[in-house]
Amino acid sequence: MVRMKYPLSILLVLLFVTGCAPMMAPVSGPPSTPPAPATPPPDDEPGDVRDGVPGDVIVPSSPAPERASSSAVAQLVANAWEYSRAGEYDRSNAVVERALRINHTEPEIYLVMASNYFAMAQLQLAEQLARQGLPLAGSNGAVKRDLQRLLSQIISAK
Amino acid sequence: MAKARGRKKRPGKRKGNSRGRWLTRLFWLLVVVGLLFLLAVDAVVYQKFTGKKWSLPSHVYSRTLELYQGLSLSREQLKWELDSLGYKQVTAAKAPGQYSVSSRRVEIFSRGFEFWDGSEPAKLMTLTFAGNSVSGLVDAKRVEMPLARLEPMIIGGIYPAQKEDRELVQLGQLPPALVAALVAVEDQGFYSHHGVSFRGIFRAFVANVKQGRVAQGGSTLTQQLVKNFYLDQQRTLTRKALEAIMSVLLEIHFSKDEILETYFNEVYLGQAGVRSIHGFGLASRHYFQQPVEELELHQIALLAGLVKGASYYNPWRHSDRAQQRRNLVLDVMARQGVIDATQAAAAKKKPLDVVTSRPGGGRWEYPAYLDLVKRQLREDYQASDLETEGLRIFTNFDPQVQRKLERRMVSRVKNLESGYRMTAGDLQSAAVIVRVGAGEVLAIAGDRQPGYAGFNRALDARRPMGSTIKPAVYMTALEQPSLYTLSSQIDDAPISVESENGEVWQPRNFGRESHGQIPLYEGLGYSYNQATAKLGMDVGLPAIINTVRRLGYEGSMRELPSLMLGAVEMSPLDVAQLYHTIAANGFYSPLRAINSVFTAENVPLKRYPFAAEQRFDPTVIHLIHYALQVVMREGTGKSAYKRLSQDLVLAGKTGTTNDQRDSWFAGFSGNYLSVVWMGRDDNGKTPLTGGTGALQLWTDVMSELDNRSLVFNQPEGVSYHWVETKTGLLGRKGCAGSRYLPFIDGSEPIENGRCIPEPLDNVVDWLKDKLGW
Repeated sequence: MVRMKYPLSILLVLLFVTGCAPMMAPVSGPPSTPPAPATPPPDDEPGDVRDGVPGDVIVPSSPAPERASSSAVAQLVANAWEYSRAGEYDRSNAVVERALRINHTEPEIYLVMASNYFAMAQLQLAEQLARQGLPLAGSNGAVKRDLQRLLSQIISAK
Repeated sequence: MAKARGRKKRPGKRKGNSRGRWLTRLFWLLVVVGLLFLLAVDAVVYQKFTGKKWSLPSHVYSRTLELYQGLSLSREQLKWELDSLGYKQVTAAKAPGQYSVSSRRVEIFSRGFEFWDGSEPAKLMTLTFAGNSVSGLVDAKRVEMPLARLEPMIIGGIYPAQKEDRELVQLGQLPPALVAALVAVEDQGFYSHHGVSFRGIFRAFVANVKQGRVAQGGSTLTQQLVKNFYLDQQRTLTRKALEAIMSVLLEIHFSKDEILETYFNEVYLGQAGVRSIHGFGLASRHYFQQPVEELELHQIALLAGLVKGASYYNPWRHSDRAQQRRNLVLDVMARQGVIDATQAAAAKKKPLDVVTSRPGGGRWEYPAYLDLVKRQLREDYQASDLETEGLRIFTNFDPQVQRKLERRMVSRVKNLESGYRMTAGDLQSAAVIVRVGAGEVLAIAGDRQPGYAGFNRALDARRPMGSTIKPAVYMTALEQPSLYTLSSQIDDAPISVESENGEVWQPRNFGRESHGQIPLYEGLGYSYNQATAKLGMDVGLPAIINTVRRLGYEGSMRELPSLMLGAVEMSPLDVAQLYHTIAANGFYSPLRAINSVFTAENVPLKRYPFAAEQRFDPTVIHLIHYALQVVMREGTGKSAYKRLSQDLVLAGKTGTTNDQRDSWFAGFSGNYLSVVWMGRDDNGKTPLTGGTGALQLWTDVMSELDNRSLVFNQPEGVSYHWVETKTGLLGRKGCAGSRYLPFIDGSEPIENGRCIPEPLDNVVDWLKDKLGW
């Protein structure tokens, strides 16, 4: 009888609990509370242990802020495109490698190099460079699209 | 008989005729022989002068310093770079090769330089600084420049056995005062004689008789050139005669300017260790660290004066003699009307101005890096070409990074020796620093002593790599996401493995303790040997060897279980190659020391471009980057954060071999990868682990570099989940023992752990609570 007396309440409780439980396990975003540190003594370094640093500091990077060096990189990339358009692929690659030295995470660098090698019919290397640039493109939609388009061209040319 | 009779009848006349005939014949024979001799000498003179005149050693250059807003470079570091390039500090830079410094600014008049991608003209620029970085870069008109670059510095050469070194210059490059000074001092009649000056010989003869000793030579510049260029140093009459003949022949064939230019490149002007300095081009750099075009009058006079005896007038060893000689040259120049008396007097007041550190101890000090350059060059060039063709080799060597590495290595090794009471001099070290992404080798230390040219441990000391191999074991496992994830439970318990020859291998943890079931990431983070061995045996040795190969190791590996804990021997450079593939998102790029090669005539010959090949999936790399960050944040590498910013994302791995004979650390930020080894040359025991030895030096060096955080973007195909580390089941945020871990899509746990209450349990608990049961 008791069961019949509160059917709606039980149903609501069930819905609440079952509905909320998965929601309590987030799928993204850094945790706010550190998990319990598990710090057994390191086997490689017995003499230099300090209190465990919470593991929640290891989270995916947010998009990198614009670096002050970006104008130098942009200038080099622009110069490299000019040489590339003029058919001076080796010179273009030499220029864009200077940008690579300054910031190797700029995806357009790989786009320039991949385009040059594609034009030079070095398809294998062109493909690898395009693949290397893609994960770096992130939110840079235009470069990402160009890299994807180039990659399709390379693959169909192979 | 008739002939005999005839001779008897008129003996006197016949004898006379015959002698005359023979004399005539002899005369003509001598004429012919003389002519043939002259022709032969002429051929020698002509051919050597028109052919390749010298065997030119190759010169090796550092990287180019790119200047741009945001560059991490202090004013002092820039000043060091400029001083090393031989720029002169002045109050206001007005000509190439000069710079001025104020409290926040450095004004540079750069030198022009021919780079692979084009020429960089000489230009005036001003850099402003904010702290230790460049905050602004403007040109002479105060217009903002996106970037500029300085020419690279010469860091060494590749010499033939006789080690004769020179840098070719053209007559047009030389300051007119230098040409005039040489002619005034060595051969005033140079432009009027035909190779030999009888007036000069007579004048020298009179002067020598007067003084009763050989005080003056009568040789012209042409004769001096012939003596040095074609003949040996013997002083005989025959040789003097030959010298005169050759001088005349040389003057017949070639112009005065051609002869003078060759003289300027041929003449011996000093010694740098075993290297002999020839020609004014190299002598200018040797004594003043400046290109010859930039020399001032007092420097020109010193160089011209050294022609008489570079050793006798050595400005470092005999500065008074050198100064007297220089002043004498200035007097002669004034007397000849080349300069006026005021100029001479002003130049005489100046110091000798030679560089403070003598070459040989100052500039040619990077043998370990040059060793790598030579090895990589030999893949494309014959040794003889490298020693004789005068190639100009541009490398990726960064003198600023090298300087920091060397300084820190010297102090850390000493500090460890004294701290652990080791015998002084017992501990050795080697290190390699690489630019992440570009795969460029920036610096190498092959010995604890900077500049040591012997055994290069960074390239040749193959030592067991210990736990630095472990990422390969874990990557092999993580490449099978259906079987292994970062939260997979592995057993850290004693393990015995019997090899084919019946030997039993029983690895133990460093601390001799077992930790039971642990999540996979902890096995790497805390470098547990037993857990790693267990995991390695499960994934299989062939697969691990395959991973090591894909990471970039091409040497031999034996399929032994101990390989999983680093029994394979590698050099620091080998380890750097492996870790670079990990640092560069799974893309293998051969580590490069060389950037490009030019001919002696500055014609581009070969470039060593960047290349990459994907060897690992970005999802696997993300997971291993996570685990290597655990090493740095919580595990065996965490002491690095005592001195490095907590905001800096770093990944790395310690390595310690049996009896602590080798201490390793390999780790990287977003832009630098450093590998450090420490140990003893006799392979003896040390008190150091990877963490207490190599990691300490690694941290020292990284703390001096402009590190950027490792880019740890979540790639497509990876998602994060809260997981209970003790069970590997799903956990939740805020629940003790839960951790936020990345998983390759589809490999995440689906079963809830105890952190996530079952719905019915909640209801029951709620009811109990409400009803007071």
